[in-house]
Amino acid sequence: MFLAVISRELRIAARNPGEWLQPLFFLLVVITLFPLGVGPSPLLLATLAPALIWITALLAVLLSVDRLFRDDFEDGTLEQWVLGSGPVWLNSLAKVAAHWLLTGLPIVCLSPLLCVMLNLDYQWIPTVALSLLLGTPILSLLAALGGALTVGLRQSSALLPIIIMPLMVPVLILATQAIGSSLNGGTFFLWLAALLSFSLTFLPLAIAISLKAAVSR
Amino acid sequence: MTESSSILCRASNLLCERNRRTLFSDLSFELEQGQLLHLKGPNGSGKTTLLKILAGLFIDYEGEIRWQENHRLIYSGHLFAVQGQLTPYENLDFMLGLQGVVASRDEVYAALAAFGLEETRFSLCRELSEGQRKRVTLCRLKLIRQAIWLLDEPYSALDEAGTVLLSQLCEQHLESGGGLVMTSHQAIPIPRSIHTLELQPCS
Repeated sequence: MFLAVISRELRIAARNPGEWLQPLFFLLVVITLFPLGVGPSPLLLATLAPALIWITALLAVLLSVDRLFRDDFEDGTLEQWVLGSGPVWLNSLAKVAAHWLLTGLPIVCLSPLLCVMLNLDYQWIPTVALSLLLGTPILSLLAALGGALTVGLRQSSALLPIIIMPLMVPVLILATQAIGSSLNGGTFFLWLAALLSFSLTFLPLAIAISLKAAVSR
Repeated sequence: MTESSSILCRASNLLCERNRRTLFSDLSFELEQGQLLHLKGPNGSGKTTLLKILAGLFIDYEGEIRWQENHRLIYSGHLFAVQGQLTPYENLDFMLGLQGVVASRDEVYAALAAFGLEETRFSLCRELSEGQRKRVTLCRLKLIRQAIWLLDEPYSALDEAGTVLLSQLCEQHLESGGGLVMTSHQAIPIPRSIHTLELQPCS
């Protein structure tokens, strides 16, 4: 069932490419415009680059999550999730995995390009990519939690960032610190990995509980 | 006096309040094998809520519902659970997976054909009409063998041929000893004894 949920999501995305490409375009546009805005100072750009990449990645994930559970809620698929024989948390995890494949993974793949655009030295590319690889799944999980909590509400797009932003702050801090201090050991990467395994363990359960509550409202 | 084993579900003293309004109180009924229970009542009298309570989707009620052991049910509500970007086959395949039912491609296609949907095999569900999407969701009834069906307004949006098909399917289900609870504003065109449960709006 896990794979069935993922393949269903990917199939829907393939037939509706605009929806998942939009956050990636957003990411590229912001990173393109930024050097034009702050002026062509290579040193300044390279200093700002890690934070810049991470903040735009975070916003791109937020941008994509509003509709994550909305369609399934409105057409009754979530009702059938709850009534089905499989556990809701596993379906939720599959949904998050599909979301990461469509948002987080492309961001990781784009990161070398982003680094070059911001004049970050080549040797930093693996570090930035690793931080994104560890961090974007956490962002997807948190965003899905926000989506699940607000799925039945009309003002969800306004409420969602307010709920989710504070939870994303630790990820942002850890990731940018990890990039900044990676030369003197990867402690921050370990913290990031710890946060990822924690979120992977508990957030699907929280998402499942919120979805059940939304359906039975 | 019927044997207790033939009783699929016994609900006693149900009370449900929604938005500070009592929908029903002191409601008791039984559902036996082969029995069709028709929930009747004006709009807003709580028919859908009662079905959702039976399905386990709505848990904010008082009273007791006892099910037969290992009961499995199909709930088909106002929402069809049909995703517009998928074909009827893909939708059904996913819904069967959710219920833990394995059906071959041919079986699903046969069910779709029985509901007159073979022409739409390769269209996306968003291109289908309301009635056709309803047929897609009702195909589950043919593919999933479950003892209890909870159908919310199954006849709405269906044309005459669809109504006949659905009635035949319900009849077979009842004959094989299944239980069926449905809401319907029309008279139910199934030639069997129908137990009616009238929900009166409480003052």
